[in-house]
Parts: sequence; C-alpha cells; structure tokens
Amino acid sequence: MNFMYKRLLYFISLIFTLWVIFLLPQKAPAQELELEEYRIKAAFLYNFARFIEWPEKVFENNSSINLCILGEDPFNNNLDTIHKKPVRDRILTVRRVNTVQEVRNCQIIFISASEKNNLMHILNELKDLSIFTIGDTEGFAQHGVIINFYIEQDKVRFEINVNAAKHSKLQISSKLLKLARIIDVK
Amino acid sequence: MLNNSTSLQPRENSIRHSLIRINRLTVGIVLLISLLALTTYNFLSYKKTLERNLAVQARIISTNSSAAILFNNREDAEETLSSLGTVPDIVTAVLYTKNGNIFAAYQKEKTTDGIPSLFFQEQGYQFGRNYLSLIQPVVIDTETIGTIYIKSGLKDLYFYLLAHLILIVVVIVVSILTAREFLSRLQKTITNPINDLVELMKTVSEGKNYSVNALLHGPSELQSLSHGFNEMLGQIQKRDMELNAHRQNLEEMVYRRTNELAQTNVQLREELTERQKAESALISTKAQLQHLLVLSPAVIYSCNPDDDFSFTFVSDNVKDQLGYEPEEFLEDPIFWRSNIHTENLDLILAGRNSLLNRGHHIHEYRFKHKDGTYLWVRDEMRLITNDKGHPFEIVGYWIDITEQKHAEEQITQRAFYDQLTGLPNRSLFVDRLRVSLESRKRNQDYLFAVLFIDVDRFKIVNDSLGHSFGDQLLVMIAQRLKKCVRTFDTVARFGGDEFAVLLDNIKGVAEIIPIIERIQNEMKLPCNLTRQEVFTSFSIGVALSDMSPYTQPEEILRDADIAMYYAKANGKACYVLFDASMHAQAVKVLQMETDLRTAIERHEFVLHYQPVVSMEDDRIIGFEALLRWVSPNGIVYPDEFISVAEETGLIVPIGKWVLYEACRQISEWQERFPQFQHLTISVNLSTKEFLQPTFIQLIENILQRTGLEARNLKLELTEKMIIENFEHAATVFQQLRALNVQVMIDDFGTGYSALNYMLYLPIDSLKIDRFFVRKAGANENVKEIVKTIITLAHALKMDVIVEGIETEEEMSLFKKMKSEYAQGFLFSKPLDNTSVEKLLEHYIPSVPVHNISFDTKQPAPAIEMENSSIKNLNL
Repeated sequence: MNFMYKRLLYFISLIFTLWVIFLLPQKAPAQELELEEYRIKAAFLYNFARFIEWPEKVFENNSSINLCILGEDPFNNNLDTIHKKPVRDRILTVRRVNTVQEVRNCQIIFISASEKNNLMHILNELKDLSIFTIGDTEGFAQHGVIINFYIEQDKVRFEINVNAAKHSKLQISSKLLKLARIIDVK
Repeated sequence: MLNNSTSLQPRENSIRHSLIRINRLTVGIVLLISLLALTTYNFLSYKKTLERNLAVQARIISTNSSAAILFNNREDAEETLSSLGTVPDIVTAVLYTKNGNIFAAYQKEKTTDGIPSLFFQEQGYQFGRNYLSLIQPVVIDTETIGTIYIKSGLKDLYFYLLAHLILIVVVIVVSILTAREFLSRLQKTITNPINDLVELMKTVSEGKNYSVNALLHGPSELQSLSHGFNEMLGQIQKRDMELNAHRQNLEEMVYRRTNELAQTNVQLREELTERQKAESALISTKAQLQHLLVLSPAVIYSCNPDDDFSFTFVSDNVKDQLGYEPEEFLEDPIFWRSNIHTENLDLILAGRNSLLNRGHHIHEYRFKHKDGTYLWVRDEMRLITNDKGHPFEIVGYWIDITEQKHAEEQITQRAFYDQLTGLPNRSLFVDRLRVSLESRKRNQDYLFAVLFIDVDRFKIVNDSLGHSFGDQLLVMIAQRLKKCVRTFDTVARFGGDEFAVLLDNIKGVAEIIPIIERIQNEMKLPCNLTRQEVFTSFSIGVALSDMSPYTQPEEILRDADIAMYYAKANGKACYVLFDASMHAQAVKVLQMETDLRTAIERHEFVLHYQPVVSMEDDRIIGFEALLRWVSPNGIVYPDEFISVAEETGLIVPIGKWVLYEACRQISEWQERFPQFQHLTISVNLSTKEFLQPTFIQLIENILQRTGLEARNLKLELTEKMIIENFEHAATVFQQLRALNVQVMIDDFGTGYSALNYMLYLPIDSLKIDRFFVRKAGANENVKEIVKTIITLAHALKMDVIVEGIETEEEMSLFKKMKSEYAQGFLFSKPLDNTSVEKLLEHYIPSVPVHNISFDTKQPAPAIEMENSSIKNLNL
C-alpha cells in the first residue's frame, strides 16, 4: 500500500512539473514578435538594395553602399547580419546617424519612427539627392518616403511611392514593384 | 544425282533466286539500320529540344520569382508559376527556399503526382519513362536563394516519334517494292548466259561429247568463264584419252600382282599351320609346367633386383604352401618382407647383398603362413643378368622346410639338452662357458661364476624311493634352479644329481652370494612329489672366472667341482668358494694320484702289523695289517692317500695287494713259528673292494695261493659300508661264512648303530672303538653302554675286540667286562715285519706282550703321528 501511494505521488509531481514548463515561454509574445519583425525587416533592407539601381554618380566617392539608420535604431543587433554583405559588385555598410546633415554620403536611409515629427524637414533636405529612403511608420510613404513597411496578416509587407522614386532618379525593379503596394501621390 | 538435284529444285537454288534473296536481305538490313538510326536521332534531338525548353521555362520562372522568394511573397510566386499553365507539357513546377522547404508549387489539373521533396533529389536533368525533370538553383547575382523543380510530360515526344516511324516504314515498303522490280530485270543479263553454260554442260556430261563449244556473250566475266569452259573441255578430252591408256596398263599390273599374291597366300597358309603346331606344343609344355608347378612343393617366383625386390611372378601353389594368393605378393611390394619373422630380417638384408655380389644365395627364414603360424622356408635365389652384366631379374623358389628344421631342432635338443629335465647338458654348458671365457679374453673386467651343485643324499632318495621318484625330484630341482637364476644364466644338468650353473656377466662375489642363498632357500622347501614329501639340500662349489687364468672351460669346471667337494666335506647344504689353496690341495691330490699309480709298480707299499692280544692270558693271538706307503718323501699314512685311492679306483689293486701280502705274511710266520700256528690276520676292507663282483673269488684265490686257513682271516668292515650296501653285504657275508672267513665290524658304535643288521648278518666279532675306551674310565654312562654292547655281542655269539688300550686301568676295566681281545700301545704299537719276527722269536706266552723288550727300527715321530690319528689309520 505504502509503495503504491509513493508511486502515485511521484506521477502527480511529474505532471505538474511538465505543466509549469509548458507555461513558461508564453510570458512575452508581443516582444518576441517584434524581435522577429526587425530580423525580417533587416533582411528586406539588404534585399531592397538588390532591386534598386542608383545613378552612377552616387558612387563617385566610394564603392560601398552605405545604409544609414537615422534616429533610434529599432533593429537591435539584427543589422549585424547584413553589415559588410556584398550587393552585386559592392558592399553594404551599416552606419547610424543622428542628424540629416550626416546622411549626404548615404545611399540608403532608414528613417526611424522616432523622426516622425521631423520627417518633412528630412525629406526636404534629401529632395535632390539620389537617396533611397525607407521607413516603417504608417503614412511615411504618403509623405514621400520611397519604401515603407507595414504589417498585413502578421506578415511584413511594403509600399512604394513610385513618384518619390522617380523624383530621386532611382530605378526600382519591376520584380520589386510587383510585390509592393503602389502609392501614387504627388 | 547431279541431274536429279538440278531438276528437282531449279527455282530455289537458281542464281536468279539467290540474287533476289540477297538483294532483299541487303535492302532490308540497310533500311532497318536507317530506321533505327533515324528513330534514335529523332528521339535524341527531340529530347535535347525538350531539355532546352525546360531550362528556358525554369530560368523564366526563377528570374520572375526571385524577388518573391527574397521578400517571402508566396502569392506572387504562385502567380508566376501559374503562368506555366500555357505551356502544355509542364506537369509540375515547384519552388523551394534555400533551406529546401516548399515555397510555392504548380501542378496541372489532371496530374496525380505528389510534390516531391527536394531532399533526395540531385540537381540537373532526370529522364524517366514518361517524364523529364530538371532541378536547378534559383540565383540572384551570385547568391543561390532557392531551387526550382520543373517536370515535363513526354506525351508530345512519343507522338512525334510515332509519326516519324510511320513515315519511315512507308518509305521502306515503297523502296523494297521498287528495288525488286528493277533487280528482277537487271538480273536477267547475268543469269541468262550462265543458264546457257549450264545447259551446255548438261549436254556434255550426258553425251560425253567434249567437242562442243559455248557461245561467248553476256558480261565480260561470263565470257571469260565460257572461254575457260571451252578450254577445259579440250583438256578433259585429252586427259580422258590418257586415262584410258593408263587404265589398261594398271589392269595388267593388277592381274600380275593378283597371281603373285595367290602364291604368297599358299606359302602363308603353310607357315600358319606350322606355327599353330608349334603353338599347341608350347601350350602343352606350358600346361605341363603349370602342372609341375602346382605339384611341386617349391614355390617358384621371380622378382626385380631393385630396392623393393618387387615380385613379377609367384607360382599358384604358393596358396597351398603359404596360404596366400600370388597377387598378394605381386601387388604389395613389402608384403613378402612384412611376413618374415623379425628375427630373420637381418639375414634377409645380408642375403640380398650376397645375392647381388655372387649371383646366387640360399637362406632359411621363418615366414608367416596365412593362418598365423610361422613356417621355416628355404629360399634359394639366382640373379639373372643381361648381356652387359647388369642385374636383370631374380628367380628363385621357396620350399617349406619346417619339418626338416623341426627334426634338426630335435637332434640339437638331444645333443645339447638333458632329456629328463630339458636343461642344457654338459657339452652345451661347456660351449657357453667357452663363450664366456672368450668374452673374458677380450675384456678382463668381464666376470662370471660357475656353480657346481650336487644334490645331497640323492642316492639315498633314489635307492629308497625308486628311480622314477628320483627322476621327478630331479625335474623339480631343475625347475627350481631355473627360477633362482637370471634369464641369461645357464643351468645345466651334468648327469646323475650333478647340476651346474653359469652366472654370466656378474659384478663380483657380492652379486652371486644372494643367488646361491636363494638356491639354497628354495631347496629348503619340501618337494611334494607323488607319494612323499622330501627334503633335499645342495652342496655348491663356486668358481669365479678371476680366480686363476683359465683358458679352458674344463679348468673352471674342475675348480668348481673341487669347491663342491669341500662343501660336501663341510657337512653338506653349504657352499664353498674355490680359492687357490683348494687348487693347491687339488694339485697335491692329483700329484698323489700319479704317485699312487707308480707306487704300486715300484712296490712302495709295506704292511705294518699290530698284535691282537687275548684278554684272558695276554697271548698274541694275531695281528691287524696296517698299510704304509714308503714314498720317496717319507712314510705316508693311509688317511692321506686312501681317499684319493678310493676316488681314483686305485684302492682296488692296492687292496688286493694288502690282502695278498697280509695273508702271505701270516702264512709264512705260521710256518716259521710253530707255536703260533693259529695266528689270525685282520685286514680292513674298503667299500670299493667290497663291492667288487669278484670279491669272493679274490678271497678264495688269495687263500689258495697263500695257503692260509680261512678261519685265520678276519675281514674288517665299518657299519656304514654294511648299511649302505646291505643286500650286497648279506650275500657276501653268507659266502664268507661258507668259506669260513671271519667278518668283523670295525669302529663299532661310532656310525649308524642300526643294530638290527647284526641280527640278520653272519658276523663273528665287534671291534669297540677307542672313543669308548677313552671315555669309559671316566664316564659311567659310557661304561654302561660299552657293557651293553659287549653283552649284546656275546648274546649274538660275537667276540669283542677292544682297540686303543693304552693303560693298565683300561686293560683291567675291559677284562672285567669280559671282552675277549685287545689291541693297543699297552701291548704293542704296529710293527714292521722284521720287528714282528723278533717279537715272535722272543715271545713267552706267560709274559705280557708289552713287557717284552725288543729292538725296533720304527722311528719315533712315525709312532707319534700314528698315535694322534690312530683311528683313521685303520684299514
């Protein structure tokens, strides 16, 4: 009798332990999703570079494609994976800048959501430069950012402001265009 | 034949048809090869096109969907893939991510194939029975971002191939038909001239007419053929004529040769008859030989003179003689040798050498019969050599000589073995001894011993229990002796109760003592024979080979014999080792024997006389004759030479002389001294004398020659002599009584004292031994015994003589006991004849003898000697 009882107790405690272990990873689902989101966005940043063609004069001073993060960096260390990765015959380099004056040497600028209020000023500064602008804040594309990320059905998607691209003298591959939501405002 | 075949199958075998068949076959093969080549080419080229199309499709899809893959947009990728619906052959198309997971897929509606996993697939084209697939990477810039799988059905390919095939077949059929039409016409230009030639040949062969000629037309080759044919016909015509001539010639030759052959045939037949006669003679000779071989006790054989002596022939009678089949000898090269007794194998090898050296050899050996017994076989063989003198063959015969051997063995057995005991006899023993002596000559350390064994008291056993009992005892002794010695020692019987043992190769005396003791212990056990239990003992004389430098077997045997006599003298049942002193003694005895022989011739013996005195009145009533040997070395007393004389038999002539001389002397004295007319003379007898069959005649003869009255002769015998020869004694005593010769028992009381003989034998007197005289004075018991003896003697009407009286006390003692006569130094020592004569001259009957004084020539020391061993001096 005593033996049977001991075995039952042991079994119950095992079940309980397993239940606790199953509960543990469900602690912060939102935070987890956000991390995954920026890993994908980082990869997209690199892939965008492959479907964009800059005018030749942009690379007069250097050979690498500089990707600059303007404002607060939401990517954590996800950009490390694409830093110094080759794009056709060039190399993608990731840099972080705080003011718009620092971006003249950049070919791609990611405008962080933290610059939302300063957006118009930034875009105005970059108006005549062939710089590929990217954002992930709702409404950025409508305001003139060339590519803007958005989430649809838990998937990262992007929209392209074709006029802004045309204005910046950048050529975007039709393959990319085919995948994007086209924003056509002046 | 030729005509038949040409007429029966003209169509099938004709050149025309052959040509048609050849053409058809050729055209068919060419067309078939073309068909195969064309079809293969079409297949390969269409497949190549298909592959190229597939590659193009794959490239388009992968380029168009690269962005979709990169930006993870499945919808777009699927849309791109669905554009393949316009391409009819494509069945399946799949895009895989870099990790190999399915990213987007397209399948034609009716297709039931599953979407394949990329995992096991290899890149490149894959060609199946009804599909062609391609797997290639999706590359952007230089980076591979995924993989595309595209699969095309082959329906179109097969349709296209079928259409081509049908077209080609149609072309072939048309070609064949056309070619046939053309060929049949063209052939005639060739076949017609040939047919003409054939017809011509038929005509020639049927008519044997070689003078016709063929027409020259048709192609050039045929024309030259016709020309050649014409020439050939000419040649044949010529040859035909030559052949005819030749045939006639041949026929003549054949005729001649046939005649010759017939003659030869007759000769051959005659020869054959002769040969048959010779053959039948040979067969009958062979049969006779065969009969002889079977009848003959000898097995004939032949063998090769090689190492194995392998047999080539063994006659059939080997089965009768040895029990084996001839084949057994022929098939197994070692069969013969393996059946020879192992002890004889050396002999065989030696024999082989002898045969090869001398060409002829005979040997005898034991051979195992099939029934397991060994037969003695005489094997005589002869070596046959070829012209060059090389050994060629060995022929020989075997003959069973077992019985002969057996007989020989029996003869040997008789010659060398004692029939009773089966032991070696003296001659074999001596042979073996000689061998041992030879061994000793080669090796001085080689030591052996000879035991000379005599069975004590065997004569008594034999006499009292019978000869057959004695024989049984000897057999038992022989068995026991054999048991006691080592296997290689020799035990022999020398005859009678004498045995000898040769202990060979011993280490020393220490080794033989245990053997001797064993023999004696064995003898102590009773012999249980049929009726009686008998105890015997051995007297053993031992001679060792290193005692003296022996060269002859007889020498060592003699010494063993001497030692045995010493053992006997030592009181029997003991053994004595021979030593040099014995040898010296033996030599002395031998010398004495020689001297004794000459002593008779040289008259060196003399008699001394001791007076016998009457107790009653001290009168001399007679003398006892005592033998003395006046040898060149001085006087010798009987105890020194009598035993030798007895052994050698010289005692007989000596004894005869003593008897004669004593009787003669007394007779002479009786005449010279008239007052002594009744003098008696006592003479000691030896056993041998006594046992002489002519003993009684001798006594009669002596009495007659000397003129002595028989009653004055007293013959002295010991008890022992009487008891041992009782029957003889009884006869002789009766005869002596008849002659009136007196018989006296000498040394009474010292020997057996089996008194009963006294009751049956006619005995006149007893002589009491000096032993009793010495003791009677001091010992009352002895006195009583002596008294009893004297009483007994008187009761049996015997006189009593006491010898060795030396004192007056003794004299008076025996006087009291009423003994009749006395001898001794008290009266007189033995005297030579001159002294006796003096004594008799001066004799006064009333005066005791010992008081008579007279001169004596007798030297003092001689008396001393006589005194000390007086008993033994008596004869």
